[in-house]
Amino acid sequence: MNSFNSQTSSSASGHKILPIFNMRKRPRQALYAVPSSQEIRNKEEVVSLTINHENQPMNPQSQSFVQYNQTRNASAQFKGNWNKPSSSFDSSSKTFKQPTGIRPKTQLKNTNQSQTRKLPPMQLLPNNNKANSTKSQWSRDQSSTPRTAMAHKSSVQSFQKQPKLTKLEKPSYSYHTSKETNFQPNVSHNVFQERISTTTPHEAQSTSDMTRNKVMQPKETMGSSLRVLTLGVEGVKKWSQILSNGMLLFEVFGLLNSEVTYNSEKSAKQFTVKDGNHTMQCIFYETDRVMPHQKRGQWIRCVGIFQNNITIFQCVSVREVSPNEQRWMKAQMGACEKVIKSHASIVKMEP
Amino acid sequence: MTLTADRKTIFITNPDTKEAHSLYKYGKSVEFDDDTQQDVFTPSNINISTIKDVYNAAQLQSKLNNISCQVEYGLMFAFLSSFDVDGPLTNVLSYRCCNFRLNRDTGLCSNSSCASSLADTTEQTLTFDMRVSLSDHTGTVAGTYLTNNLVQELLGCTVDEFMQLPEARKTDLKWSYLLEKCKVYFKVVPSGFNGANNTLRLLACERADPKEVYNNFKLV
Repeated sequence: MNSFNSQTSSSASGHKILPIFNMRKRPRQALYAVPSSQEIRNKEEVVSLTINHENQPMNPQSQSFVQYNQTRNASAQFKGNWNKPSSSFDSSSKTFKQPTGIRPKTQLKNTNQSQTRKLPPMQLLPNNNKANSTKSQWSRDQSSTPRTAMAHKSSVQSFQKQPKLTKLEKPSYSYHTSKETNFQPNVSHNVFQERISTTTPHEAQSTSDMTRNKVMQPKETMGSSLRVLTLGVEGVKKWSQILSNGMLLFEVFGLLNSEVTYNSEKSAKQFTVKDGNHTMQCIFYETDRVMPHQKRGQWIRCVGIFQNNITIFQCVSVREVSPNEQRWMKAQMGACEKVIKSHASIVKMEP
Repeated sequence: MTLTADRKTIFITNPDTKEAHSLYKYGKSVEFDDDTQQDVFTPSNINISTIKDVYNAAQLQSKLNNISCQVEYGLMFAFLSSFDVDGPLTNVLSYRCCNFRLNRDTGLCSNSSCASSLADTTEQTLTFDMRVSLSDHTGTVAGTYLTNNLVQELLGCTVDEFMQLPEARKTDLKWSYLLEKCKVYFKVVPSGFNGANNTLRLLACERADPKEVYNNFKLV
């Protein structure tokens, strides 16, 4: 007979039975399916004691650890920190991260963190609105409230005034208040915006909390993390106005409808994309690569951000469409539009 | 359900019964991956073609946040919104010992039960270890890693070959997957400990066929 509590270690048949868990050191308690942290700690203590007893003492080895660590760190540089020529445009921009040096933290957050997202320092809007110092001051005070509806719109506006090379990074979140509705007359349905525009800053904070509870919860699945939508030109223009929270990337299929030309600063290529009766101006900044050559009249696929205020589609990826893709692109765009419509009606974002 | 041992409990190891024999045989034949440990690289032995459940990003994220989650397998059609192949090498590669990452600061194996951490015989292997994000029309699932095998399959080269590549080539490789629709098979592993997040493990990743993408749009 062997049991956990047996101090002797031989069974009835004379075999030596080693305790599987060192029950002498474990407190007597039920074995739960999920061990508590105390249990884990106890077990770890036991294990470490056992190993120490069998192997050499730790001290000489700790020195060798240090040595190892030093050589390890040296080699961990690999070939040095290679920076791209356009240093403000390292490949983190291609992943739509916010412009800070710390990579993991700057990734766009998931939906479960939408309420406590950390944001880069506040940015002032350009002076093309009636903003004044009190407004911007108010926005600073609100730095702890989550940015939802406002964020995307105002970040899009701040595009204009930013240096070109950092444009791609500019879907960052700057928070502004009531005057926003002047720029987006179509977005008056947005509850969060409306409340801000009609209340004082102090009230707005408490009402924004309330609206947050009402509005955020149903749309928690959509949240404000990056979303990528497959749409046509018309769909891009329409949905970039309606879906104003979070960051939106669009995958657009369209015909290259113009010659590809350089912009005035010769830093980007400009062209027009057409789909049916709708056309869209596009721009592609040649940061880490040259834009692949496309023929006029060819179907191309662009992925990028649509800037509502200047109605330009800023591409980060342009390539031609394969024949297989061409067969299914319209169907994909239609299906995506349908799905977004049904999601949007659930979260009451459609007018 | 709790299991309690008291004075009267009898544990018989390897009892001589039919069920025990067949279970023993099964246990010997199957390779279990130790899901309670993070960072274990042993490939899951599940047959990918048996995974049929399609998820979107929002559904997957809620699974990852769900504390009382079970082991789930699924697949997703999503854009790779983060695939930093031509960035700093520390974003692409890492040293591993016994399939666990070596801690970048200390150089020690992150596996607490690894014998090498005490005997100072860490065998460091340089492996691909890329952090990626998956995005679709419902949101983004960030902070998941592509294992060495998956990255090798995607890039079509080993770590050594990759280190020799010129930057322009790495950029090309990046753009052949970045912001492209991919079909990703995954496994959600419950954390088992309170407070820790569930783990998302990617089992396979490849460029998606447009027809499949369309067909599965209707489902999510």
